[in-house]
Amino acid sequence: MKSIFYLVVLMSFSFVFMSQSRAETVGSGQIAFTGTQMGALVQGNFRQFSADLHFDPQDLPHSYAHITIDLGSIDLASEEAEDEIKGKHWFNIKSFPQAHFDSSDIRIVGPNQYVVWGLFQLKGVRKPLRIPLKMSYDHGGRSAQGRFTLKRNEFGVGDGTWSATDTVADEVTVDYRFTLVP
Amino acid sequence: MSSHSPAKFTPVAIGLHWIMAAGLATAFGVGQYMSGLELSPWKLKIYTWHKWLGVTLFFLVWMRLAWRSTHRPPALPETMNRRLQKLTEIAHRALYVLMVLIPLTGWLHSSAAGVSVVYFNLLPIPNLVPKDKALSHLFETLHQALNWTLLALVLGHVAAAFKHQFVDRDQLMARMRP
Repeated sequence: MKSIFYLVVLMSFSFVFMSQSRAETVGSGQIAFTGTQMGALVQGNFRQFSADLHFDPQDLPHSYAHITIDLGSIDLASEEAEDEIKGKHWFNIKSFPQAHFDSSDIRIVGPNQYVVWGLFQLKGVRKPLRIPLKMSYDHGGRSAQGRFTLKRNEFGVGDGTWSATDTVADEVTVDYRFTLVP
Repeated sequence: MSSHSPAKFTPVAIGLHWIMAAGLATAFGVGQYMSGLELSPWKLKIYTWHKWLGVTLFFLVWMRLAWRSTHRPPALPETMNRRLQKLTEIAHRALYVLMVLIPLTGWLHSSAAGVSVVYFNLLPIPNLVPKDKALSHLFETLHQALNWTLLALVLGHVAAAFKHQFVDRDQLMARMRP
């Protein structure tokens, strides 16, 4: 009996804890991208980023996403490609070490399907961005994921001789996934 | 054995031999040139062409192996002693092994580097392994080492052919004349 009592106390504590921590922290996440080089796919990802997410399907106006990506943490095919993309023709991380996304509006578009509007800032260029988001509920946790396409030339990423899109395509597909820890 | 073997290679075998010789020499030369380039759109282009050529050679070597296994090649001259004949057989087998392994390690290197290949912008070639930088370096080193081994073997192959032609004067090269 005593142990059941402790269990109930413990459960109610955890319930209190859960209901108080409204803003989720991100348990784990992944920001990957796929570019196209001479018609072939090239994969990469960012090792370091921070994600401040709060998602409440019952209260979308107060839900938000603030993502900051450390561009220097890029993981690409080779060190040579990484050095190049950190350089001034691509990300120019000396002047612009981070990319930011700040949501402004989240709308539901279907069952567990949302669209996140916000401002994306990369290499000193700020543009509105529309990101699809799918919530999935599995193993008692929640994860948010989605895929969208950016045009690198809109942000001056890959300028000079690289701006031609016959070798490296303009479109870059971004895949993200965040596990939300209540 | 030799009484049943043909005097000349089949036209298909001769064609494949010379097409692959030209292709391998080109791929080797381009490979040497491109790896020293600074990263640029030109470098990405030439890497892609090198890979397309590699895929072609990988395809051709399998055709060649299939042809070889169903069409008996002419026998080695009986003037060659047993040991030399054995050595020649080992060298020829090694050439085939390298012609398979070199494009394969190139393919693995590209896969591990996270760069897929779309053959002539038409046929997507699947990645063999997931993106892994350490693995990519390993396959790159292997690809290069195997290429230098191939170069050494090909030089020996050419030297042996010239020896037959100009020292032994046994007309061996005529068997492979296009």
